[in-house]
Amino acid sequence: MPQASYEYAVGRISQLSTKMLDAAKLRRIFEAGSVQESLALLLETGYGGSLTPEQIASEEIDYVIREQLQISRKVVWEVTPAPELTSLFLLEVDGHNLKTLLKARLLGVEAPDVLIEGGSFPLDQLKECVASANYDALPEAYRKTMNKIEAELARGVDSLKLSAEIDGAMFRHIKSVLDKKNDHSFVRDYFSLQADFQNARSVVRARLLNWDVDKLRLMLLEGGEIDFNVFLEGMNIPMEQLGAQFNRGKNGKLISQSVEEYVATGNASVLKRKMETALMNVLRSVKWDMFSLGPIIGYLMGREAEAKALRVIFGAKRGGFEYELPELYA
Amino acid sequence: MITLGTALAFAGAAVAAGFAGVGSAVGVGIAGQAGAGVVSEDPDKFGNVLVLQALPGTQGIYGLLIAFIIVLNLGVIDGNVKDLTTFQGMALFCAGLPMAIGGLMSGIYQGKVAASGIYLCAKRPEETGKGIILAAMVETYAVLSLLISFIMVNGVKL
Repeated sequence: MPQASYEYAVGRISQLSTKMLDAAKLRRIFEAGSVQESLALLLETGYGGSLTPEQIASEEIDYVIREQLQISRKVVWEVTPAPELTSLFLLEVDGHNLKTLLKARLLGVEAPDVLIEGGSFPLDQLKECVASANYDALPEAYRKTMNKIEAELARGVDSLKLSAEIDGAMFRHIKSVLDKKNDHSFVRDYFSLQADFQNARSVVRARLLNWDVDKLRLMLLEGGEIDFNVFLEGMNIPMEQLGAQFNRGKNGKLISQSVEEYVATGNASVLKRKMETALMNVLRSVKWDMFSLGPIIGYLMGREAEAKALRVIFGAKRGGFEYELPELYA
Repeated sequence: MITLGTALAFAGAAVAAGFAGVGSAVGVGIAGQAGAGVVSEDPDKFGNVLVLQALPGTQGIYGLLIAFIIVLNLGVIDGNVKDLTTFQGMALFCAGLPMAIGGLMSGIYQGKVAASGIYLCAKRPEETGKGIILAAMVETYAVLSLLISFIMVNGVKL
C-alpha cells in the first residue's frame, strides 16, 4: 500500500530513476544497426514491459513511448504526497486533451488515438464536459475559459485563439493554486520562468508574423515575474533592444540573454532550447532535496523529456539524419 | 514515601530512555519509509536497506542503558528504593539529559542520513558502504552523549 510520505516516494523514485535514459544510452540506441535493433535496445531498458509482443512487433515506437510515459505518470500520481502541486505538472496533458476533444467535436470525428491518459483530470470527465459543453466539474479558471470558448464558437472557430485561451487557463489555474497554497517553492519558480519565457517567445513570434498587440495580449500567460506591459511594449521597440527590455525580475537576465542570442543568430529555436534548459535547471536544483517534491517532479519531467528525446532519435534514425537532443534530466 | 530527590532521579531515567527512544523511533521510521520505497521496486536490496534502517535504532538502546544504570543505582531492581536528597536527584536528572537530548536529535538526523544512504543504495548499490559510513558519523554524537551521561551517573555518590 503506497504511503503518502516524501521518504517513501523518493525511495521509489530513486530506484525508478536508475532506469532513465541518459545521453550515452540514447546515443547507443541511435547507433544501433537498424530501427528494429534500436527498438530492441530500448526494450532492454524497461520500455514496453506491459505491451504484448504483437504491439511491440508493430514497431509503433510512439505506442511504446506513450505506454512508458503513462506508467511513469501513474507511479508519480500514486506516490506523491503533494497531489495538488504535482497535478500542475500534468496540466499540459489536460490542455492537449481539451484542445483535441474540442477540435474533434467541431469536426464531428472521434479522437481516441491522440488522447492521453494521466492528466490532472480524468479523461472520461473531460470527454463528458466537452461532449455536453458543460464545464462545471472543472476548476474555475478552466470553467470560465471553456464557457467563453463555447460562446465564441457560435461566431466562428479560430484554432490559434482556442489553443491560446486553454493555455492561458492552465497558467491562471496554476497561479490560483500556488497563491491559495502560498507556495514559494521551486514549483512557483518553474512556472514563473516558463510563463516569462513563453511570453518573450510570443513577442518574438508576434513580431515575426506581424501580429497586432491585441493578438499578442491573448497569448500572454499569467504567473510570470515580468509585467504584461513590458511584453506589449516589446512590440514597438527596435529588435536590438528587445533583450534589454525583458531584463527584469529574477528570470529577466536569462530571458534577455536568450533573446539577444536569437537576435544575433536569427535562429528562433534558440529560445525554446534555452527555455527547456532553464526549466530543467530549476528541477536539477532540487534534485537532491530528498525530503521534498523536487526529485519526484524531476523524475516526471525527466521522463517527459526522455520521451521527447526518443521521438527525436527514432525520427532521425528513420530519416537518416543526425539528431539534436532536447534537454535531459538524467 | 518517595522523596523529591528520588522522584527527580526517576525523571532522569525516564527522559533518557524516553527521549532517546523517540529519536530512534522517528529515525528508524524515516529510514524505514525510504527503505520500503526502494524495496517495493527492487526487493533484492532488502539486505542493504535493513542495515541502514537499523542504524538509528542504537540511540534507544543507549537511552535504555543510562536509564537502567540510574534505576539500578536507585536500588529499584532489588526492591530497596533509596531516599535521595533533592540535590542527588537533581544531579541524576541532569545526568540523564545529555542522553535524552543527544539521543533524540541524533536519532532523527541519523534517520534522515540513513534515508539518504538508502537512496544512494537505490541508485548505486555498490556504494552502500559509503551510505552506512555517512549515517554512522551521526552515531558519534549519540556515543558522546552516552559517555557523558554515563560518567555523570557514576559520579553521583548515593
